[in-house]
Amino acid sequence: MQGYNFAYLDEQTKRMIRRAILKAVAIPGHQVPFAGREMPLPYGWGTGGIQVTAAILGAEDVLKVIDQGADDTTNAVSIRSFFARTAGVRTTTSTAEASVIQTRHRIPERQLRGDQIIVYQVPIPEPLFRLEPSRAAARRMHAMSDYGPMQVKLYEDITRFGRVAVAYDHPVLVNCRYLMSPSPIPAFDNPKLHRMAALQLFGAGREKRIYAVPPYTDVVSLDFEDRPFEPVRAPARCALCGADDTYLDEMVTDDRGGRLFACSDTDHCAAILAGTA
Amino acid sequence: MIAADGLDKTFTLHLRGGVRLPVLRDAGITVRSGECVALAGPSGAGKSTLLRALYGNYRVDRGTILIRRDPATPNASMIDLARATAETIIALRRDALGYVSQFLRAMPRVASRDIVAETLLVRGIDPHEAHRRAAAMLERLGIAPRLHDLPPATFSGGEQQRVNLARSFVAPWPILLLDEPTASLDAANRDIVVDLINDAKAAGTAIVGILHDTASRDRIADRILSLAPVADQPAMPERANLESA
Amino acid sequence: MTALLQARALTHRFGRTIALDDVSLTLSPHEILAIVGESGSGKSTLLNVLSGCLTPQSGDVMYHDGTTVRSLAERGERAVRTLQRARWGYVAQDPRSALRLDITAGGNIGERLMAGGARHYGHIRAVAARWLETVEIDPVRIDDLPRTFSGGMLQRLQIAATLVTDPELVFMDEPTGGLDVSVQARILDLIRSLVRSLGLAIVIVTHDIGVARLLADRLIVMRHGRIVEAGLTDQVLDDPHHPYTQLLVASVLPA
Repeated sequence: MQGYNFAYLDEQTKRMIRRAILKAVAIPGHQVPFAGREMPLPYGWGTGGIQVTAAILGAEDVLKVIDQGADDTTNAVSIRSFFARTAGVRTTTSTAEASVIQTRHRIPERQLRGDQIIVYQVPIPEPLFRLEPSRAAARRMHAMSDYGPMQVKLYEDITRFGRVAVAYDHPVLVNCRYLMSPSPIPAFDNPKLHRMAALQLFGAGREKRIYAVPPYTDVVSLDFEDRPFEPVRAPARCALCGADDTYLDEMVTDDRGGRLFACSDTDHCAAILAGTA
Repeated sequence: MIAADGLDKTFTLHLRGGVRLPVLRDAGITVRSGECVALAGPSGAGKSTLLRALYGNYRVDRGTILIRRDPATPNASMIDLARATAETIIALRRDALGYVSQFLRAMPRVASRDIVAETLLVRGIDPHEAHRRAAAMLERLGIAPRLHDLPPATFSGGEQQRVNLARSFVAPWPILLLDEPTASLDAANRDIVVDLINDAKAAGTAIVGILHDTASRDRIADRILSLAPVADQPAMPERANLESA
Repeated sequence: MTALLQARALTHRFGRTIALDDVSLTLSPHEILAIVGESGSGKSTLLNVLSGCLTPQSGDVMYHDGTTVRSLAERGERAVRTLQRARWGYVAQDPRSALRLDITAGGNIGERLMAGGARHYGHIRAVAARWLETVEIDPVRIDDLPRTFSGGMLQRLQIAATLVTDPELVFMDEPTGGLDVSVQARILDLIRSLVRSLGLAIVIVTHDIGVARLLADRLIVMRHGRIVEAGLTDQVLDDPHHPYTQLLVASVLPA
């Protein structure tokens, strides 16, 4: 595409972002600041994820972009065609075929491989955000492994609601050291982070932070010994493919209360139907 | 058990322009195990000051106050209270050096039995046993069981003082210092206190007491040490205090 | 006996104000030390330095952790924070500043346990309920928010939340300040009984001489950042030597 560098960002910016990524990979779960650039999307629309993807994309890569599991929503389509135009890379909706997967708020159902990279779009990178409004104090807490308050919050959830109430963005401890926000993925997806074969990169554009989980890293959801973390899904089968072990979207079908559940991961659902999952 | 010598004490009242009040000059006292020495003399002679100095409550300007903890080990070294650390004095007061003040300093909310039991609890006595002995001592001093659970703040002066006495006599002491123990008591209770003091003497306690109640004093004191106010004392280096049997 | 805590030549200024001027003191295990003084005497600054919350401009604080004696500065921030979390405690004057008002009573008490790695929900709750009883708060209120507690209850809750980790050393800053007299009495009584049963060492800052007399073994009188008199509590209060101490004692209103 004329007038723009490969994947939109200039090479110096990509180097800066890659340096941040390297630091992030070296310290799993630790938030690394980076000098975020102005992107042709506003904050809150995935600028962090886009910058990470732009920095790592090569001409031979195959890119998949999903938004809450679907390849065909507006945002997923926009971002996918953005990279198609500015980088000229092949794009796909198939998880199996992709080498880089940029995602908003879900992890694909299909297990990822060691030759794949998943890039998460993150709104708020700081897991202590609500407990400790001061950023300086929060940084000290991470430095000193002072995570008691987060455990207290879980205690409160159990006390008030009988279970941990966070349905998404359940905090995790990475590599037995850093408390991390896995981005607003449903709690159902948390187990997938643990010892994933693929490299996981997280980009927050508005907050200008990058963090990472290298392959085969321990990622444990916070819980209590006697109240273990339990992933939650709707107790139903996918109305399209019949799967009972995938994360489901609930869809309202009419104005008389009709609803159906369908797999949130559209590619996976299609694969099951085609018999190729 | 007690060998105090050469004690000087002068109060400097900074709030009154630095006026100096000498109260003790070259004072001294010795008390043996099982002996009771009564301090006598006019008001202002320094009886109370000497007694408090023996407890470490008042600091002396000069002199030594040697205390022996255990009558059974006469060869053990004595501790000089005038130079002892706060830690040492606190340890002594726990189980070696007792003081019965003239009035009970009432702690808010603490039941009278608990006040008395505290003396035993700090010595590590089992709480159940401590409370049993406390109740027994209170009863001996005429404090009825229905009062044991009440804080003494609402008691009469005499009752409060009996709780105060119970607090000290509930446990054995090598040394006991008594400041007007019978002052607010009627005759019957005074007799009980005299018995308690004599029991303590028989058990080997060395006692120093201030008693204006001469009848009781004569029943417990083996010696009387008369003190005179410093201003009236001859300014000679020899001991200014007289001893009489 | 080796001192538990030893402050050496502490000096600290805030701008041109001298807060601490060559202050030294020692604290033994199981001892209660009261720091008495009026506003501006430096007593709160001293407490903050002793508890590792403030680094003095000169001088150091040596702490004996059972194995070695090293200064807080030498131990480093991380080690000191760990000490503060478990082996030490701090009871602030205003419990609202130390407690989390939007967290239940049980959560507040459990916080230090969880910060220290406790991960059993049922067990944490049981310990919290026991402590509520100890500080005379009805255990039925374990899930209530402190917002609904009275001032005295809040302070007792803070005491429970502090002592839950069985610290060996507790710093208290005017723990009964601002409370009604009857409530004060209750809290002082609670502290006294806990001290004996738990064998705590305490450094307590107070402007109230009655509190010092009731609780403390030893007393330090501060004025303009300096220690003017120190010694056995009853000795300093009954036989004050320094003019300022005499003034303080004479100013106490009789009951």
